[in-house]
Amino acid sequence: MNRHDIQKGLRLANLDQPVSARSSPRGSAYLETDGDAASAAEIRRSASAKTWGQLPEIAVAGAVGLLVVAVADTGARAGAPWASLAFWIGLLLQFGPVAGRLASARPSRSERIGLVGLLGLQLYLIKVLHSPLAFTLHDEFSHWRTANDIARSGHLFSENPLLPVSPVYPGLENVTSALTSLSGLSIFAAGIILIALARVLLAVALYLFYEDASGSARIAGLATLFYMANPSFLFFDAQFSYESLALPLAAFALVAVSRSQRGARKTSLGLVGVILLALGATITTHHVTGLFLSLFLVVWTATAAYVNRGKVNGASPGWTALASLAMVLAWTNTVGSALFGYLAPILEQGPQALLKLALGMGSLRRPFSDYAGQSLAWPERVVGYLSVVLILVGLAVGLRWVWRRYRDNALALALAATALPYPLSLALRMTDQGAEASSRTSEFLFLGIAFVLAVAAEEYWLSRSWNRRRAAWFVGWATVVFTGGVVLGAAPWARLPGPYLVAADSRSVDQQSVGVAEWTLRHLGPNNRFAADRTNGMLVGSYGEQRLVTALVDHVGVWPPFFTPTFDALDEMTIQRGRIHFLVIDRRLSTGLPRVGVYVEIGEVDTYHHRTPINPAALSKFDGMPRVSRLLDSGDIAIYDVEALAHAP
Amino acid sequence: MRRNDQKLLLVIAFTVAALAVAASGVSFKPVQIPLALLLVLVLPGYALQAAMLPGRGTSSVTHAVLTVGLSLTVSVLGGFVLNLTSVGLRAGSWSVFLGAVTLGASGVALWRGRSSDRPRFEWSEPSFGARQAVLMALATVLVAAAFGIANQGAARPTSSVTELWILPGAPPNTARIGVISEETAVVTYRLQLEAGGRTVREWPEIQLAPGQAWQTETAVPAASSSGGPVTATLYRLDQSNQPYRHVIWWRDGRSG
Repeated sequence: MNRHDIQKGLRLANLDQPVSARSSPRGSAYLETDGDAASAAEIRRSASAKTWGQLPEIAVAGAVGLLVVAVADTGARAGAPWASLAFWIGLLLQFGPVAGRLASARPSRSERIGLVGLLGLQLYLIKVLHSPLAFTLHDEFSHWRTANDIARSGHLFSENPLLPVSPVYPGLENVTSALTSLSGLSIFAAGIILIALARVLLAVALYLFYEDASGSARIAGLATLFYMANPSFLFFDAQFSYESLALPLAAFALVAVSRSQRGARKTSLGLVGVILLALGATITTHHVTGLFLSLFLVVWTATAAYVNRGKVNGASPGWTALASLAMVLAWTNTVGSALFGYLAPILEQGPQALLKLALGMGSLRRPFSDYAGQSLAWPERVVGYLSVVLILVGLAVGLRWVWRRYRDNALALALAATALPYPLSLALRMTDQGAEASSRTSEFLFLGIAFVLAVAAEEYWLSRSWNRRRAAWFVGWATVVFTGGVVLGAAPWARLPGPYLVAADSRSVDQQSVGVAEWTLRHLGPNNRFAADRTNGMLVGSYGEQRLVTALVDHVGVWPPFFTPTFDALDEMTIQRGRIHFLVIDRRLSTGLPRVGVYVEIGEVDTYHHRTPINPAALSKFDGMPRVSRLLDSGDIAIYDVEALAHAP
Repeated sequence: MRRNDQKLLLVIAFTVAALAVAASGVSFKPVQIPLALLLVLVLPGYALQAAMLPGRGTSSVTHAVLTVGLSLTVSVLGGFVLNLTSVGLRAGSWSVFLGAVTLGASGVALWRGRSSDRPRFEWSEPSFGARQAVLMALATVLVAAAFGIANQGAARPTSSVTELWILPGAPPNTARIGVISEETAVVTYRLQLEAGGRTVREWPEIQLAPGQAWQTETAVPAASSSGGPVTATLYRLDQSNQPYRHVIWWRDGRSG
């Protein structure tokens, strides 16, 4: 293929042309490097681009990895001590071969895209293998409730006491509604299919976006690989939750915007329409993703202004940033109170706690341990620390190279700017309140971090003469970054299924608690006012379709009846103010400390600092109380009718 | 006829088939599910990009991203449109909406295609060789095996659960009592109902297999005559005489 062919192809294939030679650091010569093709015209003419290379072999290795993870899950359910090791082996069988192959210069663009799509899907399947028969992750119940409300009523914006903000960002549930009503599939089955497709879309769209930013297929592949190392990727963004759909939609929007920045041709009305549709869908699906997308477009506009200084007709995503901000403001104004009530505490408490810590007034969070005091095994702690160090080193190296190679590339500079707050997000992790805010930023910051790390890998490491030793070092580096993300993103007890644990989200959902929740709907009907601990509350509020009383919605802390050893005035006031009709009491709460830091809700006594389990007397005090019926007994869980107390004189 | 037009006609054919299945109310899952997945996740996006971006050559990958991305976008935003109607988000309204978007966009794409002689999509489909196809099939089998193992492990009961419950019956002075067994084996229970401290009824043998439930409605003495709550105590015949489950119903409470 000669340069004439490429240029001819570029004119033909407007949508797939790489970043222009002006903004590309190496111009078209960069395209001619084996494995760095980015032009559709080039692809169409290149025989090698039509091959899948080693994708099938790597798919088999990944499938073996999934098989090992499935065995690990099954072993973990029976408490097998080898399950954790098997999980890691299975995980690395998926990640390692893909990392090694993407680092090589040999794969075609098709193979690279196939590899990132494959890895994205296989990592998603790890979450599905963890819970193959029903949703078990915490946020999934909130969104199940919203989807179920839409299925029952046929309309949006029903009240959801589990997550009040969910019904006003119903993008996920809209698609689920279309799937369930037309196919007859359950919400669970439709959700699994939808998130699987969204996951592949995310991986491939990110690849195209990074390819636009770098003009390099290898950097695009590596950046997408590093994005998957963010702590939220394996479980949090694989659950049936609004962010899991919003991120792929945002990536899709970014690809559309980056394509509109290409070439001298004016953006067509059709592409403008695609961009507006994608922005609208993202912003109405998830609040933080919509906000991040808008902020990123603003940063991109700013870097474009810097790159275009002195130029009259330089490309800029300015109008998309304005449109995005306008949509965010319009939608936030429509749903305002629900959003601010939900987000404000998260956004405020982290920086406040960090400030207190800086002033010597706060306490340091114990790193790499859960709220029940269980620390990670030392190898995991080492990998966790090492991954942070390697990311910081990679950022230091990569930012320098971004500046050297891409200082005239507005998109690359915007991505680099997005990586800059990473150290601050690490600082937030030092406090209990900040850890939540920090963990919610990783999937956004990694958009930039992944790009900078990929540039560092390419420029500092891989562009030099390639040999096995160099490849092994790279795979080792990438694997530590990836495993560190897994370590930071999910506690050991959350990675695998297993026996019941106290206040441990997916590990607290079992046959008994699900059975009790279903009983409430079958025999009491929906929308009775319930108070319950964190896990049983999610279940009676979703599968039970009950009206859970919460501090967030009702401004009543419902925790006292679960903590006071004898029934006292505080309990009575709580029941009366919350107009609580039924109480779900799970006696197992007294058998351990809460893994997630709270038994009932944030704001309860000793939130994040429980030192002793709940007094068993607190959980049995309703037995034998006059006028308090104990309507159901399942062994560990009992349902009490306390309405008589709510109406006591 | 050009290749792109043929594909659009295929899109139209699948859309019409999906609409026909939805309208007929036929619930034959092997047909209903694939057509529904196509109608929600593929067809609207394919047709929309053909209508909105004619004359733009796209690679298979960009084409696929546009197809899926736009399809998801249509359903996300379509929910808000349907919410404005009195019917709301139902199977019928979804099929009309998605069908209208897909057929309308296909029509526009065909019309715009005829008015332009530029190529629209350059669909390059990298294909597998025989060895690669065998390896991909092997990978698929391994993933299916992984799911088989995971499903089996998750479906296995991990604990023995029996629920005993009591609620007021519909007629006055009656109680509804139920037992639900999620034990791992057949269990025989004895149930004792007391009011005012004396046994008013007993069921000496209730045998339940895993997943089975038992329920009855029974008269209880009037609250004024017995005083105190009604209690039901469940015993397992294969265990000691210790109460296994115990529920209490205060008739001046407000349950039910």
